[in-house]
Amino acid sequence: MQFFWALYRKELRILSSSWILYVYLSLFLFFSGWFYYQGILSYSAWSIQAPAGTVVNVQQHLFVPLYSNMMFFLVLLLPILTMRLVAEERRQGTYSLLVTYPGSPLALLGAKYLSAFTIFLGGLLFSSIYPFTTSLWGGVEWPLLVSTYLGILLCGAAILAIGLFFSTLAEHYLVAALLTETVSLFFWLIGWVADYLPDRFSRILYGVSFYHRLRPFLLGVVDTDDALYFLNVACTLLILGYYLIYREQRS
Amino acid sequence: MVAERVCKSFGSLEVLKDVNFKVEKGEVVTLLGPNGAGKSTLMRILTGILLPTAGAVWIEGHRMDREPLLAKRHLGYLPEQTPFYAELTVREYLRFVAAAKGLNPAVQKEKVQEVLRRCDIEEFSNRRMGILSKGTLRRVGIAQAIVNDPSVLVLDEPTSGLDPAQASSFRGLILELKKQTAIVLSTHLMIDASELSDRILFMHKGQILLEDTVEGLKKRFTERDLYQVRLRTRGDVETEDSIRKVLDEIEGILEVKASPCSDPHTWTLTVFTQPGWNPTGGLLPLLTSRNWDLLELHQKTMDLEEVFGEITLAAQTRGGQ
Repeated sequence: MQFFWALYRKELRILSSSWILYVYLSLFLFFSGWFYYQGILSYSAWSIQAPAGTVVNVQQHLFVPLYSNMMFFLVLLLPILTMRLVAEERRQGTYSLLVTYPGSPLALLGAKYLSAFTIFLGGLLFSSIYPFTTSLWGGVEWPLLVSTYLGILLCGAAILAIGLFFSTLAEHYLVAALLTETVSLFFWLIGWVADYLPDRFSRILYGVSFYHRLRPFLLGVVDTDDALYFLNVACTLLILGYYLIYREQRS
Repeated sequence: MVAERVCKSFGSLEVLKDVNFKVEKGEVVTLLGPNGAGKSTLMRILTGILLPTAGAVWIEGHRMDREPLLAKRHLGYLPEQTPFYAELTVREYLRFVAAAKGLNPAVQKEKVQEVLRRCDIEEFSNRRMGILSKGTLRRVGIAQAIVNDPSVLVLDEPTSGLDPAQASSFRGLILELKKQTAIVLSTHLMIDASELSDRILFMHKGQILLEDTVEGLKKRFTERDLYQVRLRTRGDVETEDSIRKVLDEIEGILEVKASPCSDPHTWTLTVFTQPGWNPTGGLLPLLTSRNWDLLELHQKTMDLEEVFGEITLAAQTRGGQ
């Protein structure tokens, strides 16, 4: 475990002193802030148009659009956090040295994964300012927000695992980022294609679509099926990453 | 460290064949051989980066493929290019390595301070690694290798890219480390091999062809005397072959290598002779009779570089046959 924590601290130190953290946080906070601002404008418009005495649901008309937009933006942004994790170590030659230290490939991947997850979590904590601000003028349903954040964490965990896998596979970090971006976007958008397909196909596509698996969480429904799907994707990709390292040693 | 019947193949390509050797504490063993001999692959197997197709590597009784974490606890490795994290300071980097190598947190700080002092990099400890010179980085590289007091140190081209003064002081450091460590070294620099090695393993085509001390190797290949000769002819011989033919007739001369100098009719010769050959016996009378001028004649002692050349040539000839 000492290797794991040493590597985890090192990864956080390197991420925090590189441009990656600042670019990630600036873009994330800027766009999520902008989505929130747009959400407030739309919510106001809904409220004005609503019949007198009707309270427009905050979760449905403000937070669902806000967090689904935020997650879509995270699909584009999260590959930045994972792209360098292994690919850059390989490029710099530090990877060969790292594997001579007494740590298992699992600890190596785990520490790198957790460091990226920590930054992701940190960004999400910043975003909690939106519901807190909204709660000042009322109407926030906190249990629904807990479910929303749980969904975003699980979906993010799956995307980070895809990113780490491609960082282990690719020679260059930009290739890793591009592959992660492509695959994550594919799984995000695939549900939209499903709308135009016959029922038996669309059911399969809805089943693998990140967006359709996330949507129940945004509406306050914690379905273990959806949670397990995201965890399954994350674990499978981490195991595949482990297999790549294992195979490389025996090549 | 023990390498026992180590074999490695990449697909159908056999890179290492049945490599066996042992390195004890207090000993430096050097891997020598031409490019493609399998040295780098062997180094990667010794350090656990690659696993052998057959055979095993043992460090302090732990088999690398079965107990990698225990084996690696006793290992220090310095790759050919010192890898570094540009964002970290030297001290942060060494603290990370000390922790990653499983050092007790209570002694990490003290240990890092000790290696900083030992490798003479204390003044750079708070500088970022991205701005360090190659020589300083090399010292940081050795510091990370020894921070866990390893029983086995594997050094790949340890002085490559260093200026002569840095290389000399680096060799001094390696000799000092040798007192409590078994060292395996791979190098192309004969000065490193001859100054540091207790034993040399000469590799060729994935096998250990020869194993001997530096002195032993020199002795094997100095069964012939070597002379450096420079002479001016009168234009009566014009080709390297013809001058070689003339000299080959002298008793005691085994082999002549001739190359023309820039001055007209002037030749530089490398002459291999039987041990104890006397130039006054056959060479000087020939020169007098042909009216050739002797410009230079001296006996050379074979250095390790020439021995290396001889072994490589012999190995290639044998391989060709």
